[in-house]
Amino acid sequence: MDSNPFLTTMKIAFTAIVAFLLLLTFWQGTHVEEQVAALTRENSALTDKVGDLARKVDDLKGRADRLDGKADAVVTMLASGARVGPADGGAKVVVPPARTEWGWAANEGLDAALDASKPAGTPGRYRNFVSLDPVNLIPPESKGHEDGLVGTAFGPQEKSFNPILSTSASMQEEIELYVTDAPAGEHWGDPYKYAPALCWRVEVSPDFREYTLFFRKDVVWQPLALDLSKYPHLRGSHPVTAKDYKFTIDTILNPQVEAASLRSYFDDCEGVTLVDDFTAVVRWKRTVYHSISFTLGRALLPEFLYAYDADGTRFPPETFGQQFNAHFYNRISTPGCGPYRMLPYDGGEWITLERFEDWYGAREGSRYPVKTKRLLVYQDNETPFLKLQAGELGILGLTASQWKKHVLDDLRPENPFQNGTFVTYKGLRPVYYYVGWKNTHPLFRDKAVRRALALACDVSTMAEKIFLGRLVPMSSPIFPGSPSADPDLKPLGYDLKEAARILDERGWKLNPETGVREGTVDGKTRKFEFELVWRSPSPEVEALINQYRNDLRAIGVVMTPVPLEWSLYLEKLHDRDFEASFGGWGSQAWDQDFEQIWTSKQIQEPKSSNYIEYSNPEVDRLSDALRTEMDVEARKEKARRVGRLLFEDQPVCFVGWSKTFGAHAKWLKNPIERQFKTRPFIRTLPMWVDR
Amino acid sequence: MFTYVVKRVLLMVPTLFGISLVLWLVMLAAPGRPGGDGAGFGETETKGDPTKDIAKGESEFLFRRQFALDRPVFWNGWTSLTVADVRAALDDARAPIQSVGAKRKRLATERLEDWGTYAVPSLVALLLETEGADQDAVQYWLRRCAHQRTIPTQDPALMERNRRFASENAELATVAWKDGASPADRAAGVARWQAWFEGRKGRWEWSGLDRFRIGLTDTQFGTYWGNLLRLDLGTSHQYKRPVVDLILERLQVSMVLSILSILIIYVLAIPIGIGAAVGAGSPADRGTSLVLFLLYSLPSFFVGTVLLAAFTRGQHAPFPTSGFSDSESFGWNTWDRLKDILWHITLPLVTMTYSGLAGLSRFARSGMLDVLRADYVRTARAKGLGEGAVIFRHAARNGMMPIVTLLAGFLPALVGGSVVVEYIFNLKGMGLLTIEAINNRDYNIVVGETLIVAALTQLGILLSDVLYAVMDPRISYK
Repeated sequence: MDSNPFLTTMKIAFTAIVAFLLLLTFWQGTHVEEQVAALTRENSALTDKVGDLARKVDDLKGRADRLDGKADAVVTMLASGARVGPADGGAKVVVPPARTEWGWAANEGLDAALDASKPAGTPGRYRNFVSLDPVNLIPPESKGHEDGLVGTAFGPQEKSFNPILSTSASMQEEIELYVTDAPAGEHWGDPYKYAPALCWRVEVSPDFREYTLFFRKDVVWQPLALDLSKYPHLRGSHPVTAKDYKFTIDTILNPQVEAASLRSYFDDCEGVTLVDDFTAVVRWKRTVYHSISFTLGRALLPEFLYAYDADGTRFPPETFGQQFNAHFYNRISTPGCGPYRMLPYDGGEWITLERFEDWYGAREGSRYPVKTKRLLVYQDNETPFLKLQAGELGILGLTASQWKKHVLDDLRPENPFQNGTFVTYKGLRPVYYYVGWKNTHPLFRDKAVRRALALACDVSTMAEKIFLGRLVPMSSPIFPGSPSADPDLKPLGYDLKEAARILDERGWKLNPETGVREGTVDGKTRKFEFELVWRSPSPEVEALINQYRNDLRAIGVVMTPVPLEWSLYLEKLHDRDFEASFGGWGSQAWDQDFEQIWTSKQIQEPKSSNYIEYSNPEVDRLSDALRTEMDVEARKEKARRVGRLLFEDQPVCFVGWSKTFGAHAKWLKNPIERQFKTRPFIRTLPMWVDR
Repeated sequence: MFTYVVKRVLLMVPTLFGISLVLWLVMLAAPGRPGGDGAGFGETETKGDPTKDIAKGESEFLFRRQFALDRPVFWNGWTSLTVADVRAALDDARAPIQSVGAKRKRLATERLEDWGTYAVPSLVALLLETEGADQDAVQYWLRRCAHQRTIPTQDPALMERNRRFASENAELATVAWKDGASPADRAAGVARWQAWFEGRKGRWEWSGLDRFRIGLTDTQFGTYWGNLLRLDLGTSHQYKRPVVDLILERLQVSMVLSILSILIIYVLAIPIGIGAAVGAGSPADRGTSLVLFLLYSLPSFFVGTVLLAAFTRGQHAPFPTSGFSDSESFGWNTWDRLKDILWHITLPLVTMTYSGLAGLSRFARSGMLDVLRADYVRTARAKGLGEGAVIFRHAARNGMMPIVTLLAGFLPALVGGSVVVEYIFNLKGMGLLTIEAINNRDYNIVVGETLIVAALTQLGILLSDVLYAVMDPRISYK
């Protein structure tokens, strides 16, 4: 042995590497591994075939059962003296036609002979609430392009793929909308109407407190993203039934389940009663408008998966909620019965969705053109941008700096963003920025003062110089694309003279010595000075705040920006330990609900979203009325009135709507609508690939 | 030597304890709390309002219970709660936000929730002292505090306990009166509560020893260390998975990168260092020094971004933009997968390697320079040995001693990962896991990962001490 340990170590390392390489060469050379890989693939294909066959067998069993049922009916009729076929004397015994087990045709005649006295769960008590969507989401041009693969950006790694537990927008927009399915979906052209999805018929009582859902019988859960040889209890075909619906709603209502935000919308839900395996009745304690979307638009969870642990043992009811929160499948995939199936996620940088060929919609001619969707999991914004350029992503929203550098500033003809390789787009998103005043603070109690402060905010210049066009001045928190938006309500505008005049009028006089306005509030003289907290870091927001500070200073108001880290910022807001704040809200894009942010009852909640402590009895009244108003036109009118009141009160300075910029490869067709979804429960328009 | 090693290993335990103590103190001082807005709890979840359903907030409470976040950090003195303490908290929790302020109201509500069962005797006493809406509020909190939390388990005995808890919880609804009940119903309700309490009084009768035990163990720190002694690093509150599983999953990426980069650094740095030392002062040495210093001064986030811009742009780029392997590599043979991984990690490896290479080769150079000036090297030359033999057989062995012992210092880096490289190249390794855990206040991951790194650092130091002794017979530990 060498006496030099250093050399010895080097020799051992070298020998080990050479040995490993020799072994690998031998392994490769004998083709054993390739044979193993081929066998594995064959095995996997066979397993799939077995799964298909099992599903077909189940299907045939179902048909046989139904035939049995018909035979029983015939036997019963014969026993009661009826006869099938021509009777003596030419009279005919009419056998009632077997109801089509599912499908739109089964509705035929039901609406013509409504009878509210029928027992609950019987079709034909009330008019069918769902109607066929006249818009065909599959564009005819996509024919012949059904094998495309397209990559899109997802975001940071998802902690849970469970549709109830996850709260991220990426999860909802990129996975749930493609993988899961609900009893009904909104019409593309008119989201106030619903189209049938998992239900062939939905009946709603006139007071909107009882919903009867008739589920189709031909819908199956997608094969799970698991090696089913390890989970024998999950093998076989599993139909989607009303039991799954009841399981889903019961799970949401379970107080142990970490879905409090979602549960709050079901506060008034009494629960679900099953009439049979394919009929469910949902009852609500009182009439609330959101009962429609939350009864019909909720994606179903498979009971055969989530009610059991990995060994197939049913969770005990005492701890079900907690075990559901930590279910083993949550980190693997999202189970669904929609048009795409999510493959198991291995923690890498791609999440893959594959078209589910057995989707009922595909059988009815709504097969989605893209075969495979890959979603990029990333942290750094540069990663998806490079992937877009490399052709791995088909579409991407661009950051302000990427837009400026690659689209606005680089005008060279070889720039792919100029020469047509990528098509750029812009669009408005239902997200807005605001400066929130603590409405109970002595400085901001007066709405005229708040109006003056808003007049000092030069949004147009900010939009042009700072946001490079990614900001659109706004008048109220109602999204311009919503039918509730008042077209006559224009943004307040920028007018320093008027702002100064209002402040003078309201008793805030300029002290010529200090250059700061002073006034008397509650018997005390105070300067118009305040701090504005904002969440750092964001160069654009910082520039915006600085510009606003300068404008306010010009009219004698001193604002000191205080940048804070996210959790500290949030703590300040929750504890109302601030004077003014800068923030953003995601707004409802279509229908409106003002309860969370603008009603005074929320002020008493320690962590409420109305942390600015805004209160207006008329807004409270309209908001309450809106919650129970079922008439669409009346809803629009009430929402417009709230919008006008908020504009008059200026509880916050409404800065502007956020605009998004992006680019997509020219080979990706029809991708834009998905970027600007204004309807929360609608499936996005299908893209296709032409490359 | 053996005694020394045993002594050092034993010393690691209190050191780790001290490190975890400091970690808890740091986390305690940091603003924000685990879970909160990032864990699926809604803004609309209501607490402290007696008119709301008793089950409201249950999921958040269970979450806090599961991770002992509802307990004091170091000492639990709640066995000595008085009626006055509970009354004060109750008053604050019920007061209008304008009179006490949002913070005081929030803290009071959280305090009542956290006290849980410890507040039951005081709440029962308060039932007798109050009436009307005040009494309703006391009952609301009594029901919440008396509610026993079930814990998921496979143990039949604990499952039986869960069933008992569930049945006792259901019983609470029969004990309580409905809000707005008549005085007679209310009086009957108070009597039921008293009977309920008397039947279980033993639960709240603690001896001095009990109080001391609870004070130490029923705390965040006590729970964590209790788990740690059972070699349980706990569960991540974001992922709802054992921390060890998450770390093992992420280690695959981090360790491949770390081991390869350390290997490359050593394979290149030693010959560069030796060459530079042998030709010290020559133009080649100066040139190498200049290049190495330049490399050393470049920050890795800059180099990583430049490499990405230079080698991954466009559809025919020589390297992939990010990732550890092709997403479709499943089913490929080993050789192809190895090639794929190497192709993916080339740029991250360069980013991780260049700086260490520059630093280590300077160490190698200075180590060799010291040795080359030594008497025994001069003697070796004088006795007529060839230059190769002098350098590689006599000088290198001693000259490389600092370099080899530095290897032990890389041990924690194997686990720690590189935040910058993982972020830029979109690699799901330990660095990203840690940063994400810090941002989300996922204490168990942060503490678990830091303790592993701390333990490896100590092991590394011990290893380097042992290596010194092995390589240099003059050093011995007694």
